[in-house]
Amino acid sequence: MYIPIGPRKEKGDWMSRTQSIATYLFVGLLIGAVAGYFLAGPLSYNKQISTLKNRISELEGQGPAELTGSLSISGSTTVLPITQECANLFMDQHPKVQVSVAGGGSGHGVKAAGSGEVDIGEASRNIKASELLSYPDLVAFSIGKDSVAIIVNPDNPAADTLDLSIEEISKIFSGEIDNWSQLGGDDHEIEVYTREAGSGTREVFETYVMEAFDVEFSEGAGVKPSNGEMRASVAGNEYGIAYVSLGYADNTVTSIKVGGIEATVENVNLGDYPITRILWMFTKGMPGTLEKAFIEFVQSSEGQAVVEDMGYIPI
Amino acid sequence: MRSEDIVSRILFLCASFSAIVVFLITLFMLREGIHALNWDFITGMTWKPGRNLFGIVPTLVGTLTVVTGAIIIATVIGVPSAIYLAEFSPFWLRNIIKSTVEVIVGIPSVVIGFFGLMVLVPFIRDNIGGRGESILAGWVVLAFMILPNVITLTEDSIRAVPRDHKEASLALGATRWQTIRRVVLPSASSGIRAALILGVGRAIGETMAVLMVVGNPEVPWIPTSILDRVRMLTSTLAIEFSYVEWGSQHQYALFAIGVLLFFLVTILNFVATFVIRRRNLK
Repeated sequence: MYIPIGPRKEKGDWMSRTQSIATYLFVGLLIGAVAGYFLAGPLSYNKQISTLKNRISELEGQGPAELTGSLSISGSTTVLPITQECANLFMDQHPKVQVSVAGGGSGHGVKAAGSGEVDIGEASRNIKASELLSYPDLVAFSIGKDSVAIIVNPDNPAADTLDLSIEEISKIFSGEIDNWSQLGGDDHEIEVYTREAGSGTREVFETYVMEAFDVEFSEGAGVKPSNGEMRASVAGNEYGIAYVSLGYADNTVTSIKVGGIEATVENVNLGDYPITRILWMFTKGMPGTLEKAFIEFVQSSEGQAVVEDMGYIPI
Repeated sequence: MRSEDIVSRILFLCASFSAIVVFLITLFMLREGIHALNWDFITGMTWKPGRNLFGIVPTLVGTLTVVTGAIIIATVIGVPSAIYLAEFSPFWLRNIIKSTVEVIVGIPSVVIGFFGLMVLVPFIRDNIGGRGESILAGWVVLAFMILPNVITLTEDSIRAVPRDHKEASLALGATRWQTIRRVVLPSASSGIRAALILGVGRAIGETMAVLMVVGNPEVPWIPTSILDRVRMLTSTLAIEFSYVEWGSQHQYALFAIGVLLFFLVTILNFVATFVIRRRNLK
């Protein structure tokens, strides 16, 4: 019979290993705590200094009084990225201001601003007459423009000559016109791409094109979750057609003329290109100091640079 | 002894942390999804958020079609590969093939999806027909992604067959192929089944790669051809979540899809655990 004589030693090994793990953990925690203490010290100290400095400059009456308070904004998801970025920049400049930004859609933006639920509402469409009746105090500020280009593949034989009316476009996207031969191209199915329900770009397209002729997207339309994928799909598919925010229409795709007008920033600015929208901010009554400061910031060159960065058209 | 207690408490905290997180996630999804988990959701044939229609059937059928096809392809290619690697291949070759296959696991799924979109989809469109984005493309992409799981796990379970079983069979005069077919594969079968079930679990949860190749029609329908486009449960979530209005029926319906996915994968994991445990009991 074999009796192992090792266990005691093995157990000793295990014990010392456990102990050393415990020791390492303890030392680690200790180092962490000490480092945390030393790092947290200067940080809170810095904060105190800056608070004191602000207080001093306030007492001495130098410069304008610092903006304080909180600002709530909600509305269109199209305007959301602009507002979010502007809010971050604004808060950097005015550390005592807290701006909270939420989505909810244009309709929500109008309603929330009109009822005083939020300080600033946003919409990526014009205010409706019915809304103005419900909320007569609304004051609107334009902060940018957006447009939607209809794109096809450059290799499509019909690409360069296509010039469609809004009605024809609505028929293509609803599936009533479903072959390129009906538009002077090859005898091949038109492969329609669309954005997901709720997308801002889709909303404009629906407002200007689909709802104008009371039609819905064809059931077979392929859903793409971003402007980038819409463009990539058409760039890779000779028989595809899609719509993208104007900033995305580059040379990998061909933007078609709508009612004889090319989709360019100039034509949008001239008001000639038909699918154009203004991005709005609303306040209930004339804006207060803080609201005014924020809207002016968005309209300033710094804010308009953000508008341009996000692929929209500055005013 | 005290230090051991401390260590075991710390380890317990770490272990319970992940369990608690899973529990909280489940609770959160159920709380949001419960509002939409109704009969219309489970039996509805139309998914039209704009019209407040949230029928999941075509999407569920699409998901199951894509996953089933992918698992069949992965089995047809993966199991023979595993048999070859475990029983026939020379050691050096096995190392090369196995480590190459395992590289697939490390490829981010969006890269595989991109490859599918740029290479596979145009290939299908030009040579087979349809729009290219199709069930077929989903099969190929998903099969490729679960292949490493199937090969690795199957090979492991073939290797786990005791050597004396094989030797006994060979000693009785059975050929190598007879031994594999009559002795090795039957003893490894529960391991192989577990490998396939885990593969299905992975395939159902996969998002990015399939999202890019299955086409996602505006209103999904029950597919009638392998060139039809479908929606997957995961791709519907990924596409629609970013813009969903919080607190709307649409948001609840998306959470309900999450619950459904969670439910499917959990069942599959339970079945896999059960199959593996039965093997160990044998």
